[in-house]
Amino acid sequence: MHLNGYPFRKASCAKGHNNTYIRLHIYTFKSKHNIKYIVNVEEYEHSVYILKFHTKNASYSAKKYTMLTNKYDSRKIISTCINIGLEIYKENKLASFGFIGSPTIKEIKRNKKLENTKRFKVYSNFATFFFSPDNFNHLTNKSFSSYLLINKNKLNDISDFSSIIISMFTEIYEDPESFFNLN
Amino acid sequence: MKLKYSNKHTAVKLKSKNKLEKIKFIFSKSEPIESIKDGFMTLTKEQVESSRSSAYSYIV
Repeated sequence: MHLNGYPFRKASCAKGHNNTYIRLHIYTFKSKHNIKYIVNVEEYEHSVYILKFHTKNASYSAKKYTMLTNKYDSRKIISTCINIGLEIYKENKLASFGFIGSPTIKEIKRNKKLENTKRFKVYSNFATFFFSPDNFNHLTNKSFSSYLLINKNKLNDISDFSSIIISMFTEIYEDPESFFNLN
Repeated sequence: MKLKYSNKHTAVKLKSKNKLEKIKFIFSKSEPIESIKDGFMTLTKEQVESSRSSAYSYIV
């Protein structure tokens, strides 16, 4: 099933920082409210892709992943990001994915926890809906609002692949509670 | 900020505009922060399928 998202384009591709972080793919799209979005797809070792998105205006803000636009257009925006993920999967059938549902500014102030955030709940719905359990293992960590979609083709190739990816993800988000330093 | 085990000394050393706010937060923590690594669980095929059907009305 293809989602009704916004048209997007690949803007650039940059080299990663080290052997694990291979490259950064940057996609852009514009919403009906004329807000420009940047989708950063970080490609790691073992064809693991971490998707992050934010508004272009907030590019230089430390709060870019926690802000809300309050335009009530999330379904279409998330759909666009899912379409980007599906396009990557179409090109690379060994791709695995990961994301964190970052807390909203309200959640940061109120909860001081990364547990089961609003974004995590919404993104999880999309992940389960569009990534079949026949092709992906779905791993969740509610305490840190983290989600991993492990490609089953890779599981057949590498023993203990899930543990490798979990370790890698843990290293990438070494300090997940850094979100709380933003207020 | 890597203050997994906070103490008064570390908190006082913090330099920021919201110093007081951060200090309050640090002292409100009673337990060390666990690692992401420990909490991952694999959803069963049934759990994913069930979640998919409940997500249908939201997404489509």
